[in-house]
Amino acid sequence: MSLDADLLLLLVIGIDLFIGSTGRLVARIRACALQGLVLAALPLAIQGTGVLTGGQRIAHTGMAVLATLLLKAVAIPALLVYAMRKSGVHRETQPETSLHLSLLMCGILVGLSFWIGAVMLPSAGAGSSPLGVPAGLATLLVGLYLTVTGRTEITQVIGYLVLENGVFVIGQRVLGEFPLVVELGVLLDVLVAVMLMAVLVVFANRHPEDEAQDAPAAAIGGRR
Amino acid sequence: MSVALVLTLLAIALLVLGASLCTFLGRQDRAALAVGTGTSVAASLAGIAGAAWALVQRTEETLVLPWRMPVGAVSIGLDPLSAFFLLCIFLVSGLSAIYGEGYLRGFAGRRRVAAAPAFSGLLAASMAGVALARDGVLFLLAWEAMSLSSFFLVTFEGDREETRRAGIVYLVASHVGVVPLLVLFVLLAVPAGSFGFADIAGAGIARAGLATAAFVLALLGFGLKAGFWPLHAWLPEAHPAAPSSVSAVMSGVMIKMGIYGLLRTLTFLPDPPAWWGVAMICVGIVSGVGGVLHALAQHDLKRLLAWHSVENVGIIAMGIGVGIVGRANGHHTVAFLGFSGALLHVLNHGLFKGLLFQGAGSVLHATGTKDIDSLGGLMHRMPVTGATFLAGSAAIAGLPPLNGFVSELLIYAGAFTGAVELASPDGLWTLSVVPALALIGGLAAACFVKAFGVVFLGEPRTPAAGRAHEASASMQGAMVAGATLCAVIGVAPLLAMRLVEGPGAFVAGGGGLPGGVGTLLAAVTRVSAALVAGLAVLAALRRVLLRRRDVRRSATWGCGYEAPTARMQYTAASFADPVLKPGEFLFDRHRHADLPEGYFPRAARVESHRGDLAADRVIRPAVNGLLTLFRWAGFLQAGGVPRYLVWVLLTVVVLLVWQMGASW
Amino acid sequence: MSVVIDIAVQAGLLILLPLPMLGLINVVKSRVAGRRGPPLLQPVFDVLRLLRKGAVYSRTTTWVFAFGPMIGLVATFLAGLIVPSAFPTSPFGFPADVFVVAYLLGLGRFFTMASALDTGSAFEGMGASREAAFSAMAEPALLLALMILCIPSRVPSFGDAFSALPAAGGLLRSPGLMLAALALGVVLLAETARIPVDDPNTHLELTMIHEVMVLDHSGPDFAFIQIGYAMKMYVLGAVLVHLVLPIPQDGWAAPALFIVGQAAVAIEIGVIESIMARLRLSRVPQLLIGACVVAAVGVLVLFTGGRP
Repeated sequence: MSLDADLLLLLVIGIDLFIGSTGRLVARIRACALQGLVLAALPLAIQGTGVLTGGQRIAHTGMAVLATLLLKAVAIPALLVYAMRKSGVHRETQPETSLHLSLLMCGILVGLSFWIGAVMLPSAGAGSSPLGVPAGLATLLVGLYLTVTGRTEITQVIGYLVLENGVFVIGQRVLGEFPLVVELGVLLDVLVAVMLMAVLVVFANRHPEDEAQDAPAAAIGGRR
Repeated sequence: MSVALVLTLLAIALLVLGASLCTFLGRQDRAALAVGTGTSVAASLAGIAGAAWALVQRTEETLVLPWRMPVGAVSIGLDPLSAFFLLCIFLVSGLSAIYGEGYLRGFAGRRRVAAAPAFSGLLAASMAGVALARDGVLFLLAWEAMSLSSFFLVTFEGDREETRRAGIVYLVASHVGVVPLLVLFVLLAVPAGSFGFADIAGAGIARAGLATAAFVLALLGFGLKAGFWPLHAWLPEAHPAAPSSVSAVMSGVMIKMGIYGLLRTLTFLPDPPAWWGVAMICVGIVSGVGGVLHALAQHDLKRLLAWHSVENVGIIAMGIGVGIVGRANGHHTVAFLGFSGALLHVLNHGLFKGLLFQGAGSVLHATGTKDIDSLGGLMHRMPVTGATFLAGSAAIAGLPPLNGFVSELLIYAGAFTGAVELASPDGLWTLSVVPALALIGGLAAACFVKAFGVVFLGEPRTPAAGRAHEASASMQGAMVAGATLCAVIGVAPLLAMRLVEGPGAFVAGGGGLPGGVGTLLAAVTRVSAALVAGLAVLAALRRVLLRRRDVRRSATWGCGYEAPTARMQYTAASFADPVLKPGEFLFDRHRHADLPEGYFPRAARVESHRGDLAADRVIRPAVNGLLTLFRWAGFLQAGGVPRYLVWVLLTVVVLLVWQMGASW
Repeated sequence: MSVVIDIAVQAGLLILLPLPMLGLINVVKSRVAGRRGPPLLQPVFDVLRLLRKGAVYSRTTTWVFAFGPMIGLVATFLAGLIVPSAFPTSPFGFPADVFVVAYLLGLGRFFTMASALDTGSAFEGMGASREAAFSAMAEPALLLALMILCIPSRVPSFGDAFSALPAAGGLLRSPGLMLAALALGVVLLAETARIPVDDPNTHLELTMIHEVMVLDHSGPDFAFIQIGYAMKMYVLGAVLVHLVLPIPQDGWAAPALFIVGQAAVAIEIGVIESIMARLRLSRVPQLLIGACVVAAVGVLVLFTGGRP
């Protein structure tokens, strides 16, 4: 079982790097959705070390998987795509070269999180994958980086989502099982944030000043 | 006194004698040049013999001279580390002296030529003095003599504004670098009770704080001479300004005296912690990658080579770093591979960088320009310079079967062994050398394909390049000798290992040649031999295949375009662009473009310049800040006695008040 | 005796296999596109014809131009002898041969680029410049991947690494090795100038990388280049095959499995070329930096998971 978790966590890191290296918003959102899918599969791959047993455990895991799947892999990405279409912004509006820098930075952040994982937070239970903490930290840091460097609302929200995914992974790895209520609460928070953003983006786009601008300028100038 | 030491001292005496004769000959350029070259070559032969003797015999001796100086006895000595650097010094300066005979003759009648051989001799003598010194005072004196004599060489063409500027930058940088060294030796002398190296090493500096302070000071002071990033800012200014025969010595060996000093300091500090090694590795990676990227961005052939010195010093620092990490972990193989790789790279870099600067000098001599983009097609008119420059280019890019590959392979092997044998964080650090070296190798190959290809291949881009002529016999001789040595070390690395083995083990803290190194180097010989043999077979095959076939000469295929001109060739700037673009954020980039506009555009132009971020954003603001401070402090020095008396009075009053306050 | 057989197999495969691999790629591409395509051995016929031809040299060129293809071929051939083919160890292997192989490939590339610049053609300069840039960026990925491969066996040599691989559980047991294989795959495509880095079939010189560097070569020189190019693909493919397939130490199954593996590499390249478009040139560095980062993460995973 441990191998599957390893692979899933590697996939999580890979998706972080991909998100860091692409400027296309659709690709980023799709990658986010894929990451959500992987996270939903994660509880299935690890053996629980918590107090729950038997049927309770299965129900709990099932609920968590289902909720994660619905929100992280379906609802939030769909909302983001909707907001993106409405706002007419399809690319991160940074120059091409800084994507190299962004990828390198993400690589450095991944390295940093491996270091932190090795030095500061020794791996949780004996049975769990040694990649858990580094993968979670990497996702968290990359998310933070994306949020900080994002030039548009949508990229910032994508960064925020990635950050939350990182919290999710760390929580699962460190605590063995995330308390369902907490996880659901966080998920709902994110959902609300994304919805707010979508409303803002769509509303701002209807603003007469913006409509006066021609399309290329809007695409180049972004939303800020 | 051993034979080796006698020979070395004889060499130094010859150099000093030659230098003084040159000054007496004054305006007789040809005679001074002949005397200077003759004594330098004789001295080099004696010095090489002495150093090689010492290396083979593993001589270790110290000689306390019967002179008294205010701060204690003066002593000199030889050990494997000194002997190895002496070998490098005499080898490169000897070759450069031969080259200089032809190169400097071009200046006859236009300048006081005698200055160049005179100061070159003094430079070689003072470098040998640095390597021989066995106490701090003599070391610093020789160090200062080295800096000053090279300053006069840098300003050889001092009637040019940029040369004067470079000279001032160099002088200031050298003296700033001496400050940490002064502090370093005082710091070391206090617990030892004397400036003698034997006493310092014997004192066994055990206090961690003191040892760390010593290491940091050595890194600053010696690092400035070696050209570690970001202390390198003087290097790309000073080295291109000097005459090419001198640039070869400065880049080839003089900056290595910084490496020597660093290694010497390490022998004083018995137990280096691993983080020193990590620091060296980081310094090395930054210098290496930064140096080669900036080299790629250069349009001036000699500046490009100067930046490559920063790169190669970075490679040496990586080797030293691996060595320190190995030593800190008590792993002899890792330590030996790191240190011996670094040391062999010192020798190798001296050889190929000397060769390349000489090649650049020949190009400058023949065409009057060192701007890469106004050259081209020189291979037809300068076959020997071209072929030797190509050999040097392949060697500096670390390609087999030449010498650069051997030293890089040793560092690779050390890094890998460290990764496998040492505990996790240290192992990972040594492994980080591998991708860095790979990247540097790839970029260096790109840079030298650019330099060699644009300068020597294709069609001449300017009339001056079309009128080029081959270098004189002595210049050719020096370059061919340098290229031959590069190939010899590459094909027979076991020979070179015999030279490096002693000093490598000495710095690694005892022990001999670890097992496996011999097998590895023997395999390199086999591969090199196979390469040469395979090439010969293929060349013969090609000759057979093309015999009695239709072999024609024609124009280069222009993809259908019938009227190409030499100006349409790819330039150095455009060649380097795809490599540099992803690393754009590392430069201080200035770009100015007048792009064509409208239906009937007028002439368009694009100008781009990639500046040095460290020099422009760190060093320059710091210097400017200092200057402002000095200007502000200038009012103290008004020039009139009354003002000074006021300062004296004020000082006395302040001291009195302070004393009273203290005793109250 | 067995050494003789080893050498014969190693050298025989190196001479016989590379060109048909190129042919197989073209066959696959044709089939995917619904064409019948050239015969499998077409590259062999091409090379044999080139070897029988005369040559045209530009008046601009020097001896460097003629040396480029020869050094490229010799260096790649030596690399091909050192990298194990049919069996997990090569009769020509030695400790630290991974570094030597990487630098031998670099040597060939250096002289190919120099001979491109020797023609003085702007197009060939362009190709050389791109090749220099992309290979410099691919180099760290290649060496990092090789390090991941070699660290478990504690010797930087292909033979030891491949022999130790089955005992360590092979590719599937090690996430680090998977990342190494991924990075190596990208390096293979970049070094052999295939889609998505370069399109060998393009007809516009402005967009080429490898093909444009060799525009002026003709006759036997061009044949050398073609053979060297195919061998380079074979060498990098061999590393990938050993990484992915557990090839037994001896017996006749080993060469068969190896040939199947190389064929799979060729088919894979053909399929990628059929279904993907070339990346824009300015995006290629992103791919290569990505490969470096992936390989670096692989090293970290290897160290995090505790070295065996």
